[in-house]
Amino acid sequence: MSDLLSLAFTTAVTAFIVNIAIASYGVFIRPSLLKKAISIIIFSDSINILAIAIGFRITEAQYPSLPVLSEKPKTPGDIKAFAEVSVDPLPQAFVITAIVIGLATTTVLLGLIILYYKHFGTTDIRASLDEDYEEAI
Amino acid sequence: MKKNIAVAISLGALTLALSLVLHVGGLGVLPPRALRNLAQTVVLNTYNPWNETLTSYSLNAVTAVIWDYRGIDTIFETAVLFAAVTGVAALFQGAVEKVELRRRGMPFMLKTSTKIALLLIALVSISLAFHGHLTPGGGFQAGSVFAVITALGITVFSIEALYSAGLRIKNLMRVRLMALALILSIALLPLTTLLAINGIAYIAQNQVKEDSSFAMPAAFFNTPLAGSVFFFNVIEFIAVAAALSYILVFFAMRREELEHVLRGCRK
Repeated sequence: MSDLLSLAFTTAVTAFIVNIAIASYGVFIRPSLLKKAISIIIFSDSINILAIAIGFRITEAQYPSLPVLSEKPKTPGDIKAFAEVSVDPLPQAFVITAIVIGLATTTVLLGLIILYYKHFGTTDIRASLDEDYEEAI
Repeated sequence: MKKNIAVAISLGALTLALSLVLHVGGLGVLPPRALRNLAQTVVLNTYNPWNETLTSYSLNAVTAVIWDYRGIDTIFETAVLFAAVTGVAALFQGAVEKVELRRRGMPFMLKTSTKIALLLIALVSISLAFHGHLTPGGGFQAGSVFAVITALGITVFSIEALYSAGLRIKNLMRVRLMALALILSIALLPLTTLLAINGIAYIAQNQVKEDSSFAMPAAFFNTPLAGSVFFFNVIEFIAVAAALSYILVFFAMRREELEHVLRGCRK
């Protein structure tokens, strides 16, 4: 059972890493700026999911619980029982920080792309390399 | 089409083969059974009335980490979001809001059903913000959900309907600045109160510490309030909702409104 679990978890982690590789292909190779932006979002989200997976744990109970107490603890024993089943809250807190900062950079990027599109009439990055684009518009 | 399927299958096979090799080679990963020490400290103290100097009285451990144990970090993070808003404003410098260009609203039926959906979205976002310390949720998530209202409003009712509803750039920027100032003032609140009685206090302090007796309200009647965590959540909700709406309004602007931006000169 533990063997199968290890294989499944390894597959999930490898899948995230392959996802990161595909996303970086999109960033480097695709000429469309919009597709580059989408690839960057997939890239950062794959890393975020990988970070959350690090906080996962195996418990004696069937499933681990959210790091949220479902009701006010009445005795210190309640808190100890909660610590037995709860997953690690720290990666989740870091990931929400990472998401906010990723969102901040993405909005500026999208603003640039929108202006690029309105200026050149295309999101193709090669349009800006064209020497005589001034006459084209 | 066939090429896409072939690529998908070969990538899947690559993933499986890689993980199989790692697993057989003994390099496979397995999540740990025990919590790490730092996580243990957080989980044991997030709501712990028997350890008053370390607790934050927040039932949600993630929110406790975000706004209490690593509060300064999050204040800077919200400053980063504000920097992004400033960046977008600098990119679109010279844009003017124009009305009566064209109203491309959707049909009446769609508008009515969207109104019901918008009400539900607003309720969900408010409950996410106000219960962020009790259930999964928090200020940032609630603000992002609220920004969906702006996005839906632009698509269904047209951007000019948003202008007439008061969602103008200037107003949104004002709300955003006010929320940032409120967040900073709540973080600095412990200092000002303790200056008066000449004691010790820390920036973004929530509950009593060993050498400081300052404490934010831990409960509202019988409901845990988690001190400053609740106020930070609510204000961050307003801040993020205003910031994202501000950015969305800029993104949805028409060509006539961006005339000065595209010509590369100021108005």
